[in-house]
Amino acid sequence: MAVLAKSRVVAVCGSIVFTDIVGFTEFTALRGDEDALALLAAQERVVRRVLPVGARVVKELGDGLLLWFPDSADALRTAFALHRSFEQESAASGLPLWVRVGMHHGHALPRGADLVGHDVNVAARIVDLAGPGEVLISEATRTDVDARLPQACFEELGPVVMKGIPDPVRLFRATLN
Amino acid sequence: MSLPPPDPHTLARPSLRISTSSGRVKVIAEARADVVVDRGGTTKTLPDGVVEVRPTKVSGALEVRCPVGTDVVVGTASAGVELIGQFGSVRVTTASGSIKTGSVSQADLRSASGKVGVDECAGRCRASTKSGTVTVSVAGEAEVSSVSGTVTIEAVDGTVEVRTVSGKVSIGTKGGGPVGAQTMSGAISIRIPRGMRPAIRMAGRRPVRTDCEQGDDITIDVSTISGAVEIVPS
Repeated sequence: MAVLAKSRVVAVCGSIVFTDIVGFTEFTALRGDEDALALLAAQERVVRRVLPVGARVVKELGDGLLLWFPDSADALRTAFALHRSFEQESAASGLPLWVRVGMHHGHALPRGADLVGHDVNVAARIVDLAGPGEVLISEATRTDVDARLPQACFEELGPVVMKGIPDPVRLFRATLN
Repeated sequence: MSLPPPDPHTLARPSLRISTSSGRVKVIAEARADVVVDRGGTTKTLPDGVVEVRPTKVSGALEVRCPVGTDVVVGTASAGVELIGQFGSVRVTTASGSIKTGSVSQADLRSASGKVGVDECAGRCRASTKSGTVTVSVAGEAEVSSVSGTVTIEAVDGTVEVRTVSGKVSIGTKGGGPVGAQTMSGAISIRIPRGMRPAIRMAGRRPVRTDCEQGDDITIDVSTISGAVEIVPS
């Protein structure tokens, strides 16, 4: 019987960020495929513009993105910049870039260009709870950012029980002063 | 009787924290000084003074009684949550259950697919759901988002921000702050006090149906791709 060797892949530590365009399916139905493509292009344009050195787009998930940041403060700063830019882009283009953001700080295992692991799953669950224009972060992110982003405000939403995640996760709504 | 907005300089109010996977959660605020669990859980007072309620079963119903004005945090995967009485700041997150509150000083309520209902919120009422409806009877301010659920805010004093994808929006404002409503396909209906002259800013190609004389008494920003828009005196 073959014995599966344990992975020798080295885990990376950083912030995992999911973005999601709210109402993308409905927008596509209302405005058509061409406008849907334009909306995705607008999102990509904004993300490429504000992504700091060291961070990367891990993959596209339909109308969402999985982003990776080595540093949590950079991740949060970028999330704020994304929302500001999405609002400006929406106003200029008339395209509804209603984006929500969920963020968790932890470990992930690289699998090719992709990232997998429990902390990736937690981040994916967090974005599900965010409203359009919101940034929700886990306690791990809040702790790691600490006082490095003094202009950020954190409002605790409490321990949240998420599907498939054994322990409640304390969530915070992050805003910019 | 409504509660005043929270004052950060006053002494700390009692604070309650509940997290459970599933099963109905009912919290009753009444004239008492302590927190008791009537059904389904035990209490533990944390070093910071917060009373944590822990369920004794994975999926049983939980019923808790607490003092009037208690701040409440509830996190659950699939339970419905009902808060009866007068509370302080309330934060509830549930993946698929409904949320219903009595009178609160401020609220942050999130449900992925359940209904959200608020009787009275003295301060800011933030609510978010995907497919459930959101109904707020009275609020100081309101910030509501939904994907397909209908949003109804019957009476709000100050600022209102509502965003839905296909859900209908109905807002009754008392005129104390700007109103913003954005949808993709949902119809928007805004009622303003009779005699008030709104400054209407419309993004999109849909005409606004209104009998109101234009002015600058209140700013109303509306945006929709295909929804009908009406602004009418109440």
